[in-house]
Amino acid sequence: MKKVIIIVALLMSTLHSFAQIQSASLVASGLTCSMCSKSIFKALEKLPSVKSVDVDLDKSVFTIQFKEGIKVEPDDILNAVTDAGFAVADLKMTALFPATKIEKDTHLEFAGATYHFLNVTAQNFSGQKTFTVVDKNYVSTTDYRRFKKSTDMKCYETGRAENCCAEGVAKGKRVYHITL
Amino acid sequence: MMGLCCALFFARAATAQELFNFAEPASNMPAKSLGIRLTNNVLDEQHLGQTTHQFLPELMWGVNKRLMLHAEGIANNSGTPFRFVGAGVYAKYRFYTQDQVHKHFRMAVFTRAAFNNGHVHYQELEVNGMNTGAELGLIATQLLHKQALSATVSYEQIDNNGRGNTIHLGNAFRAVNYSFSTGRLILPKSYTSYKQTNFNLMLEFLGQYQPEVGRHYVDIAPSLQFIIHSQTRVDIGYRHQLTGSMDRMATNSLMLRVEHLLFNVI
Repeated sequence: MKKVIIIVALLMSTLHSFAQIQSASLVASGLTCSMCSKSIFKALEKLPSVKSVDVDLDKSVFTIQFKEGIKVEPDDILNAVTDAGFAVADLKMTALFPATKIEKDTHLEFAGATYHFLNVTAQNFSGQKTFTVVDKNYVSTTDYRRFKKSTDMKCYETGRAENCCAEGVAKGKRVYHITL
Repeated sequence: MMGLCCALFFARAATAQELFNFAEPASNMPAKSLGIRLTNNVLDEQHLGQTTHQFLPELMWGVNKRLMLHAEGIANNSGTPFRFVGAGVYAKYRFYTQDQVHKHFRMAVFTRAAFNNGHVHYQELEVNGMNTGAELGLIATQLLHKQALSATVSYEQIDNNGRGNTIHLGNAFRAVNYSFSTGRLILPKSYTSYKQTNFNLMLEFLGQYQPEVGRHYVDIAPSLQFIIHSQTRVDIGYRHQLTGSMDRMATNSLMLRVEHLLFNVI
């Protein structure tokens, strides 16, 4: 029985490591001064999931490393930046994926949240993969309109699961829209 | 008009900041943060033949991403020993934001209210330091390819000061204030660390018009700003009247300020 528990625990930890978002690259917008940049830096640093933050001050690019075992979602980053008084221009996140098969409009549960793939070709992948969050407030207005044209699904407008979403996704649940 | 042309010319050469020394930008301080601001205005008060110090200590609070609040004390030595004569509150609400990388256009409304028990010798109206009253205004700030321009317009309504210090007969109770500000980053040439000291030059034009009596003034206000460790501001500004038709506490003044931000403390 003890062996079974150990095996189950090992399996759980393996699955958990696959679900982990490891790092993110954030471009913040609306600022030029170092005092403004520091307010974003401090807000990111204070998130419980953040292990470290590096910044390219000239380009307003923040490279974030996350702690293992603590859930992280794109909205945590967005809220930290907007609370500091600025906006997200681009957010790329890197995660470790198990063997995964996706195509356009695939809904995938990983790292404790639901992700909807937009503008992708059918493909299989596993291991480390970087994706870009393309929801409203994560991209420019022009890019948001472009992505909106690429899907008929209402969930892209609301950021929440709608009738259009795959079975098994509870209506009203936060759905992040991403592309590769 | 000449002032506006000068400001536009300066703005074309500007590469910089919107943390203006005499006017407020439409942007707010970060949410959940506190700031401490100590301002000392050194005024050449010719009416009394003295140098007057007006001290304005402020506590600033970033309530959320749109709203910030200030509470301030008002002290001076105008014709008396140095003493506190009043207090005020200030609120700014950012209601429009259009952000892009290294660009933004933002608009905010602000309001200020204060009581003051100090003497009222002058025709100039100033809720922030001299009069009991209230002010309501609008700010628009454009940051474009590292150039920052900001304009403010406000309506000010004052009342008699406390302790029997009444407005002299024939003086105005209402004013329209306006400002135009621009800034220029001098150092560093490129950002590599939050520990670099930033050095900014600012140029601002500050005006008041009193519609009841037709009096006005327009000041030019050049200033220097140092930002240390991206967290502490030291401002040194000079304000000089370009044109005016009202009695004022001073037509020349020096402004000294230290401001320190405490990020994410609430």
